[in-house]
Amino acid sequence: MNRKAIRTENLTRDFPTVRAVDNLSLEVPTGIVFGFLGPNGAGKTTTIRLLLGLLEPDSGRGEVLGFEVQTQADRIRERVGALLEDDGLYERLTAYDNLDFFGAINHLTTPERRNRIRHLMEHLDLWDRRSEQAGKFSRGMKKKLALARALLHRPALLFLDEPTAGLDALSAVALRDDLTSLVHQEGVTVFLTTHNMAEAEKICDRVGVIHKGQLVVEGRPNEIGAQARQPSVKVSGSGFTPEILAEVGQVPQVVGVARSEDGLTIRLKEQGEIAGLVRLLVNRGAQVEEVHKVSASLEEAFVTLMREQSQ
Amino acid sequence: MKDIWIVCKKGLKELIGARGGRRGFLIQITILAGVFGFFPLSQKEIWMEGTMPVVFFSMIPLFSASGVVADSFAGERERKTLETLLATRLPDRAIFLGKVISALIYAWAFTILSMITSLVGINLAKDTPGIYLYPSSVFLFGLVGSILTGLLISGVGVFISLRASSVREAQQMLVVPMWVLFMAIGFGLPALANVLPESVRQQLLRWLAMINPTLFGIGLLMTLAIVDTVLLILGIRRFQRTRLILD
Repeated sequence: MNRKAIRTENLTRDFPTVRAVDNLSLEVPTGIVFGFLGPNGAGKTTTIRLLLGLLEPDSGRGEVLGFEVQTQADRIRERVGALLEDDGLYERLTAYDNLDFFGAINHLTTPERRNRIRHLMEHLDLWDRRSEQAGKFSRGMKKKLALARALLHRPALLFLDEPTAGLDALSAVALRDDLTSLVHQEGVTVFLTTHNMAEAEKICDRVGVIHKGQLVVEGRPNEIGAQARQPSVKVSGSGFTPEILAEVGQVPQVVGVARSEDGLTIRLKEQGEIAGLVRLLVNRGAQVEEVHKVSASLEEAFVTLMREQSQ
Repeated sequence: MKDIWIVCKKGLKELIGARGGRRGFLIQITILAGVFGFFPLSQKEIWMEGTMPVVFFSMIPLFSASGVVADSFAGERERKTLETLLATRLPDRAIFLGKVISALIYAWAFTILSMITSLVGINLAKDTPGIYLYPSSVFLFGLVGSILTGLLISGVGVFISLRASSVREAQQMLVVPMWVLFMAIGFGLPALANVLPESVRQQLLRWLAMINPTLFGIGLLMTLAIVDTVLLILGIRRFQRTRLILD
């Protein structure tokens, strides 16, 4: 059984003036929310278009749910849902008719469509407004409706291209909550592009960072944070004498020690056991109140990565 | 077929069901009712005796479908719904034919309405007793001719709309072949007749007088049918979703 929802090998796509996707090799396991991060123009949308068979790669290959993107794109599109950059709603049709059209496209029977549409619209608080034209909806409601459309036929994989882009903070949080609950309820794998790092950190199991069409790093959000910044330990308390600081500085895993307002910041060579350090401090008479490891947030890691790439 | 009908039904729903679309539809119906009510009312049964009604009925789709077909793909592109449609499981052929057929149905509906309006007009205005019905030749040629011209304009329009980035661009591009056609018929042929030597002109007129109008009509319809078929085949071949995303 294929356990990879997406697999690409050296996938490349050129446009007349730019290489949008550059030798992209990526694996996304099934059952997770995968965040595909990158600045504007990094190649996120082009990657989704390639994976959906809406664009042809110039070289390399891609597989989605075990099907080749170049030769079996129709089978891929049968099995995936997509909420693309634009919500793609027919604004002159009612909310219900929008979903009904896509239900019919996916060959759901009339009773199936009716039940499924009602279930999703109720979940997303849209049922009472089902007879209104989609064009009259707020941006947040349109995104919700588009999300319902993408999930209508119970896809195995969901592509979400910047789902919360352009939404105010409250609408973004609401959509994210709906998305998270529906994704867990439906057991769907999600491939999500965003440049909202906080969002990615909250909902993604794994993330990949793309820059100028190339995959820069891939892993769990916390791993990427740790990779991007030298790990350190913050120790709150008192009694940190210069002698103690000098002794801590001699420990092999320590790169540097500095006093801070309420304690110490100890920079480490790498993430690892810190119990020995705490024991040393306590044994030398310092009053340790609180100790915590510090690693970069995904956003900090992202900014660092982008700066490195630009250099 | 099911997929074609799904696309077609959505297109018609958008055209007629939507508030703005409904208004446009009603305006077009009112204009047609005015035009096709006026001629029969003023000319009575005479209006039905020449080839004029067949020509009229065959031309209706050219006007009623042109706006609709220009909107087909260019409109989806402009309203940013095309990519989502292309990302579905619908086969290329179903999307293309669904668009063509929805424009054709829309255009043909106008022809039928015009035929009914004319018939009502004649029956209201005529002096003779009884109910007047179309001569079978007018009815059949009008019906078939309007389907074929509808298919022609739908095919050409969808073809143009495929590569146009906006509805306006598609409409402008669509106006060109229509103008060429009308100018050729309205001015080109008479001008050509004037340039021809008298002997050739007389020969042509004699030849035209010998032509059986029914056979001529059938020949014209068959030519149209062949052009339509070629257009559809070309359209289906050209329609590749990987070439439709222009940005």
